[in-house]
Order: sequence, then structure tokens, then C-alpha cells
Amino acid sequence: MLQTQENAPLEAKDLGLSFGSHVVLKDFNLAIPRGKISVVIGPNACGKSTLLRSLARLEKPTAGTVLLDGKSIHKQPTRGVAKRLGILPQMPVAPEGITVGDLVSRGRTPHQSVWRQWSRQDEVAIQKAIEMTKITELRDKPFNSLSGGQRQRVWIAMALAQETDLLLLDEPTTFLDLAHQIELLELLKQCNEEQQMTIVAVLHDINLAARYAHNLVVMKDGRIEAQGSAGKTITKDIMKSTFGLECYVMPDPVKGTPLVVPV
Amino acid sequence: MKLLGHHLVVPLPGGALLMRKRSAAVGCVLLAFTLIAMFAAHWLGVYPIAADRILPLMFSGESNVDQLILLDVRMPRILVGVFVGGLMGMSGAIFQALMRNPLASPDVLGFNAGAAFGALLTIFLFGSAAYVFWGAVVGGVMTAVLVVALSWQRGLDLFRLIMVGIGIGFTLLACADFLMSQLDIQRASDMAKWLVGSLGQIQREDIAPVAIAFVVLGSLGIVLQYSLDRLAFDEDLATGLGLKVNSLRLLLVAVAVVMTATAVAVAGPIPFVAFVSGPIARQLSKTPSSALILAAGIGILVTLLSDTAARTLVASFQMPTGVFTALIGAPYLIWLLARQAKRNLI
Repeated sequence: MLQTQENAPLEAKDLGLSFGSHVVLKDFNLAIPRGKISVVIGPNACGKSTLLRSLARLEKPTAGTVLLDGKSIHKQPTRGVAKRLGILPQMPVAPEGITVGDLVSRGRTPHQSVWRQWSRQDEVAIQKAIEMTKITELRDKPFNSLSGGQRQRVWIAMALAQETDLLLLDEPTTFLDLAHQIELLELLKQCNEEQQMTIVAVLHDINLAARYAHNLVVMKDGRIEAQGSAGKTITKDIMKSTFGLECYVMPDPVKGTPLVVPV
Repeated sequence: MKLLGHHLVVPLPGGALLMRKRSAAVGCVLLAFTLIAMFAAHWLGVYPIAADRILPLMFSGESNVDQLILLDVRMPRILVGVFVGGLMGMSGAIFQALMRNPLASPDVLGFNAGAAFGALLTIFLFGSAAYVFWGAVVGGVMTAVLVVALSWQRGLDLFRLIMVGIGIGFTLLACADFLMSQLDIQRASDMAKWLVGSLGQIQREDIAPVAIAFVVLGSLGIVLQYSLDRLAFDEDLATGLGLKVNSLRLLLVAVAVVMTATAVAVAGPIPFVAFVSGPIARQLSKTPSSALILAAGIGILVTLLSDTAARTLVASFQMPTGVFTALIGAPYLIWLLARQAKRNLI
């Protein structure tokens, strides 16, 4: 019997993943705390994206396993998994010519079937997702006509319509300007606080990660370098050992979380 | 039935269907046009039959030349045209949706060439047309398997599939040409339909196989359309939504290959019907869906109109149906290639 950590809906157990002879993750162990925002940071090519994809069953591990509610995620029906866990990949592709409303409603897929393509619950979930992400006025617009920030909100709306209590996001703030990055992270924070969603995101910006994460996972070369609160993980020494970055760490004047200032 | 934004919700016991209003309207118009085109095709021809006699002739027990021409010559050809056009239209729409590229239709991917080559090979081996149907199905399926196997890389790689498909298609066409060159002139001209596609030699016995394929595969396609439309997201998103991406893709490829192979077995590789139907259907209905029913409708119309033109425009001899579908399809292919090249998509 595999031991499951209390209050960890999602876990990596001795996870190993290689592409050909290139080992990305080896004997990797991680428990995602329930109802918290976990953020994975680390230098380029440290395996953080691969880790997130493995947690979302998009990559098949070469060793070990990913546990969803204590059971191997690959042995559960993928539709059932989709009712528990949503994933927003790094560069999602939308069907050509789709409108915002249609795109969001496709988040309902795991709750629907060919015979039951629509239900009252679908309507409620979609309405709620659209209101929460403030895209009501975009509903009838073609997705392709939207700006980067709007698109990202629409993707989040689709993930929310899926009504999962776990949401995984791979670099959701890439290509967004700072204002839109904050807007998106505030939205995730709101989802976490209002709906107790467990969120796992890969982010590049250490300072933003420190602001929003309850649990930071600092990775390097496919290993965990440090894990825990921002105060514990964002330190001068860990930044030096992980990113090779000489820096000062001072309290963020707004939130009091650690702020990394490169030398 | 109720309205919901741009959709109609059609209640079912324990469920509901969701249909775009515009698609439903386009479907009704296409159905009307199809019926008109079928009637016109029965009416038009070198042998004159008065329009007001067509329906009475069909349902009366008369036995005369008019009825013979109508029921034994025109009707089989028209019905087969309808089923073949519908099968090709749906097959093309499935492939284009799967590969998220309008270039990826079975005629472009070489599956039609494979089916035609398979059919020709049976004629060459057995000296008769008895096994043409199975030759085409086996040829089409084997070509698809070969193309998929050669492009498989830890999953179905769509770009490789298109490239490999085009290459294999040309190779098989060359093989078919070689087989034709081994035949004497008289037989070779009988075989021409295996290169261009034609409804010219259709007989009553040809109706049943394509009709059954149309109903069975068409229903299967429509059931699978829900998943197909969600595969239009990238693989990661589709997996995230709970779809079994690889098995669904394989199943859809299988359905679409058998659709096109059945059509080719009877009518030869009529070019561009599969290629133009899906895009026209989607353009008309402005839907992000693969719109299989509408694609079938366009396929039927294109085939019927082309065949009627091929049969009637020149009184002294019949041209292959494929000549006219090519007249419609080739300019569209050129336009599409130019547009995709401009946007750096190919």
C-alpha cells in the first residue's frame, strides 16, 4: 500500500520521467497541500513544466506514480480525473472560429455526453465562470479577436466551468504585461479563497510567486531545492544555489513578502 | 425545444442536444437544394423525359423506355452520387477537423489514391472487377495504416501525417499509372475512372453498399462529432477535458478511411469533394464545429451537380464526374495554398 499524506489531494511518489536518455525527473516526491496555492519556480529547463504536466497526467511517468486522492492518476478513468482536476497548458490552442461563450462552455465536457449535451447545471456553471472572470461583455466575440490578457481570462473561465477543485496552470502569466499578470494572479487568489480551490502554477516571476503562493516549490535540475512558505524558501542563499543569482532579499514594501533584488 | 443564445436546445429523455440556430437553418436549405438537385438530375439528360412525368413514372408499374431510362439508368447513378458525395464530404470534414488543417482531406492525404490503387490491383490480379470493392477498402485502409505508422511519434503527429500522406499519395498514383500502362488500350480506357473518378458505369447493385455505408458510418460519425469538436483543442486541453485522445483519433481515422474507401470503391477517386465540403459547410454556417451533416450535404450537392454537368453538357459523349469536381476544387486548393503560404502555415 502506498502511503498517502493527509490533506494532499495530489502527490508525486518517487516520480521519474525521462525523454529518451535525458532524465528530467528522478525519485521526485511532492505533496500538494489541499486548499492552498502552490507555485513552482526554478531556472529554465529545471523540469518544472514536466512536473506540472505529469501531475496533470499529460506525461506518462517512466517510474513512480502520481496519486490523485491516494490512487494512481493513470489508473483512474480520464473523464473522472477531468471532473477533479483542470489543467491550463502553456500555449493552449482554440478551435478556429469559436466564440468566447462556446469556448467556455466546452469546459463542461467531462460533465456532459453525446446524449446529454446540455443541462441546467451546465448553464449555472458557465454563467458563474463568466461572471467571476468578468468576461460577460466578450461572450459573443470571436476568441481570435481578443487581446492576450482577455484570452487568458477566457481560458481560466473555461477551466472554472469545468468545476474541479484542483487547477493546474503552466506559466499562465507568460506574454502578459505586469498589470495583466497581477489581474490574473488576483483572479486565481479569488478562486482559491472563495471556492477553496487547490491551485498549482508554474511561474517565472519570483517576486510575484512569493506574493501569491502559500507553498513555494523551488526546483533545480529535476530536484526540489527548497519547499515551504515564501519566507523560508526565498532567501539569498537559495537564490544563489538555485538560479546562480547574486541578490538581496528584502521585505516587499506592500505585502511584506520577500522581494528579490538582483545585485 | 428552447432558445439559448445562438443555440437551440433539443430536449431528449434524460438529456438534451445542443444545436446552433444558423447550422439548423443552413441544414434545412441544403436539404431543400438536395431534393431539387435530385429532381433536376432525374429530369435532365440526353434522352428527354417531361418534368411532370417523373414522379408518376417512378411510382407506377409501367414498363417502357422512359421508365427504364429513369429507374435503371438515371436513378442508380443519382442515388450512388448522393451516397458517395455524402461519404466523401463527411470523411473530408473528419480529417480536416482532426488535423485542424483544411489541407488534410483524404484526397490530399493519399487515401483515395490508395483505395483506387487497391481496386485496380484486384482487377489486374483477378482479371475481373469482382473484388474491386474489397480491393478499394483494403487499399484505403492499408494506405492509412502505412501513413499513420510512418508518421507516428509517441502519438499521432499531425504535421508529419500530412507530409507523409502527400508523399505516399503521389507514389500510389504513380503505381496506378504503371498498372494502367501494362493494360491494352481498350481496357485502359475502361479503367480511367480509377484515376479521375466517375459515376458513369454505375449499376443498380452499386446502390446497396454505399447506402449501407452512408447510414452506418454517417450515424457513427455524427455520434463521434461531439468528441471530434473537442479534439479541435490541442492534445493537452482535450486530455484535460477527459477525452481519450489517441484512441478517439484512431477510431475517427478508421471511420473516415472506410467512408472514403467505400466511396472510391464504387465511383473511383472523385477529386476534391472531400476537400471542399467541410470548409464550405463551416463557412456557410459560421460554426467552429466539424458540421458533419452539413459537410455531407455540400458533398452531395457538389457531386450531383458535377455529375449532372458531366452527363449532359456534351451530348455526344460523357465526361468523368471528376473533371467537374476538379473544376470546383482546384481553384479553391490554389487559393488555400496561397493563403496558408502567406500566413506561414505551410
